[in-house]
Amino acid sequence: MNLNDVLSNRPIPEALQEKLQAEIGQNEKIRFVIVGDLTTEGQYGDCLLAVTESRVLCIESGDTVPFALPLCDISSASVRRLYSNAVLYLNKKAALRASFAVVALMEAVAKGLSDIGEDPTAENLTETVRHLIEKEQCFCPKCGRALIHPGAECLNCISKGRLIKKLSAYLKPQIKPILLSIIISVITVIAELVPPYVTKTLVDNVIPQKNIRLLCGVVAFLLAIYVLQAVIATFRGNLMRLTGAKIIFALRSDVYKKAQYLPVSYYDKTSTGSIYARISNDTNTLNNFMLRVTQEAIVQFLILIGIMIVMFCMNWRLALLSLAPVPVVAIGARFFGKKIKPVYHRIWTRWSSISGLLSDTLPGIRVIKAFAGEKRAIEKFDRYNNNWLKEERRASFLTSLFPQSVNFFITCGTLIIWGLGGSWTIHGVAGMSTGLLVSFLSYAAMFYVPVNFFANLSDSYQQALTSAERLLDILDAEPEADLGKGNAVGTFKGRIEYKNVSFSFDKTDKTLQNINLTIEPGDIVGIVGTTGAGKSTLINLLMRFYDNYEGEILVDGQDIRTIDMESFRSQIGFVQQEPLMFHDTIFNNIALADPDLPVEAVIEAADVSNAHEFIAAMPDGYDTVLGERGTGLSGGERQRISIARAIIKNPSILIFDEATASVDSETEHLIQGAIERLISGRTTLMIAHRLSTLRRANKIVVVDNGQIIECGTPAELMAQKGKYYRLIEIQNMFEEAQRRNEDERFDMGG
Amino acid sequence: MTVRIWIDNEDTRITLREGLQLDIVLPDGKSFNNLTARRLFPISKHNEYVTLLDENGKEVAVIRSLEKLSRESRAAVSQVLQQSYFIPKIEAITDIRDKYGIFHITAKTDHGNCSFKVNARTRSWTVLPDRRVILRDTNDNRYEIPDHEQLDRKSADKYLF
Repeated sequence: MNLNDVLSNRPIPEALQEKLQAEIGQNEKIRFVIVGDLTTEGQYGDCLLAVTESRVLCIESGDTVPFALPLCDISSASVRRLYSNAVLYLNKKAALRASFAVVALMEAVAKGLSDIGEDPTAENLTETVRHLIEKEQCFCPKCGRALIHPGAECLNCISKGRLIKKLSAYLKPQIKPILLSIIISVITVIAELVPPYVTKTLVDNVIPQKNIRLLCGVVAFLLAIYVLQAVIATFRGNLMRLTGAKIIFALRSDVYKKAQYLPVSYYDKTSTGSIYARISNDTNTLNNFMLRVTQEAIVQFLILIGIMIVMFCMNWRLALLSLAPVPVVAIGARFFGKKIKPVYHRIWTRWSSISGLLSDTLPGIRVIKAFAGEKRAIEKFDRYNNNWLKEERRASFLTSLFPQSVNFFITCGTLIIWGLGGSWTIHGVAGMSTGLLVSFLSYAAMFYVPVNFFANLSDSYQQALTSAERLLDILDAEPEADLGKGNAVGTFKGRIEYKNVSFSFDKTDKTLQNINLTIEPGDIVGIVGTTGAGKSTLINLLMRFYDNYEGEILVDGQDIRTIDMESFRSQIGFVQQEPLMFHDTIFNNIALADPDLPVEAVIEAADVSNAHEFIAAMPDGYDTVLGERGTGLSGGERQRISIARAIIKNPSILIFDEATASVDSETEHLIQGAIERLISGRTTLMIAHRLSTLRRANKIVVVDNGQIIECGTPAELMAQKGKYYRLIEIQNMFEEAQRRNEDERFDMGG
Repeated sequence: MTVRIWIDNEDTRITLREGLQLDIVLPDGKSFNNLTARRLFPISKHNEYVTLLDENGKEVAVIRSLEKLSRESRAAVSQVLQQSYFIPKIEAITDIRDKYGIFHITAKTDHGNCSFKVNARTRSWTVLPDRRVILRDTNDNRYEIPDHEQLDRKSADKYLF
């Protein structure tokens, strides 16, 4: 049997092919093979699980004896996810061990094998495995990244020309001022090349002839050249600085724009501090480099070429001598670039950690003070700062050593010209004169300036390269998948269906498992369960914060992943436990969805959410500018503003995620009133710890360990005496105890 | 709140059973079966604070330190932990290539040679204060560099942590 044609997640290693061929019967047909990467002893090595029409075979590299089990004898099959590896147990015996790279396949196989009674020849299981393998192999052949769906264009590789191509896109709109600058640069170079040549005339002709009139004429001419140089340099400097700023403006804007459309999963894994660092520091580093390139590099390059031409015209022998240090400097620059690049990467990482720490600790300064943590915060900051300093020291040494080495070699070049050129002048060789030597030395000094400049540019270049790579990390990152872009929806009726939905944030554990739930239009659904049960994840999937789940979520019969994202989210009102306020007026915080909303609509929304009264009592009313993250308002006030925000969207579906969890009973009463006015006639999902907030719910869903364990009306669930019943009992006991405590305090006070 | 049972003596008997599960008998004779061992500090404290969970994931007891257990009990718990936790220690990085923001790494580890991918864009590694580096690959597997300054020169030049 040709094992290369067998369905498998990756090619079967040769050593295992031989073992498998030896084990397999002549007419036995292999359905599929799962190739793993660990031995059961926990060493890296090849292993496989082959499923034939009649049995399962587990084979691994080394001397381990293959393990075979007839399909009809399988009584149990399960996968245990451990730490960075998982084990497939067949009849409670460890059959296959592998890293998380194949865990999804192992689980599918385990499920299929445990239901093998209904699928005795593993036909259905083979189809499931085929589907999973195809899904896992849904990657870009160029960069290896996962694609949104099979055949999709890789977002990472679209019109990719890496750094230069990407950055040149930002230069294109500024092509006119750049071209103008190049033309001006040519004039500047000519103006700079003239004075040394005039010096030769002064030394060889004007001064020996003692011609005062000609001397005055030459000096006046030189003065005019210098004035011209100054005027042109000012104009060019201004033009190029503005051009550089415009380029960076566009780049920074694009990075911020892209940051808005990155999926929530990107922010789960990337610290906001590192994103701040990219938008602020990296764009500045790139700006400085752009300025150096646009303002100086072009001129220096033209000077370099111009001087070389003049020098070769004056005396080709001396010109060749003056080029002697150039190869050494060029090789040195390359070596320096290789050495400094990783150092700059590390400096960036250290700096990014500092930014992350700042964005973490400064907004949380109250917590730090409350826990007397100032010293610890300072110590931690110092540790991070020291790490940065350590790398900065390395960079400092390298960046000091290199320019001095370049200077030394350049000085050697000048000495060669003095030595040989001087000797040729004394002996009158090759038509050398004192004036020619002096003039040549002036040109050589001018020639070494651009050489030095380009050698040292590699330092800025490496810094800019690191920054540009970081910026492209964001620009190249895959945005939120919006496969249904353009498929806008009107108003939803509000029927929501979860069909076989499973989801995992990472491969260590499944957060949601096989969720099936139907919510009818106008239903008020309470979602309850212990902390970490998966309640918020259920909502996060409906909000489309994560799209990479198994199964389907339908709204009014339409898969939500096929609906235009903006249109979809505009139909949902979302009130969180800790509503985020922006540093803006209360009015703008309420009218977040549309700042052009009529004033009265905003006031109306605030009134419905019981917020109008306290806003009106503020000296600046709706014009009150909130502090960062809403400082200046109590938790309950922030919550009521966020409800007003939801009201103003007039959404078809409402979601409340622990909206009253962090407020006192009186405020809860006010918020509850606002919520009740808001939810009438809309499909509403409410996550609540305080079960009293769910008194209007007509359906309760109890989530536990990523699964729905109970679902029904409150009365039905109370009759079932299950988890919901126990939660209610506990809550009643707690509230009773709290009431007694309050009564006792009141009595004592009385 | 129930009182946590701390195991920190040689009188507790812990035995291994099939499927990486443990049975314990406490000094007072109370026993629990089919327990799973899980490190509370899988990165910073390998042999301390190991929680024992029952089949419903509920904590039954916590081992303060494996050092305080009898030799047999220690061997049983160690075997379970060793089998459950797979964090290869990287001894040398033989190759590292950055392909469009993904580091393709080939490394020599204490569990053999392996190749894996690490997302450079999301900087999926943590440098701990004691110079250890914990890497997380694109499949959520973990790897450890015990001391990034002790990596051989060639490896150290290749990595960018």
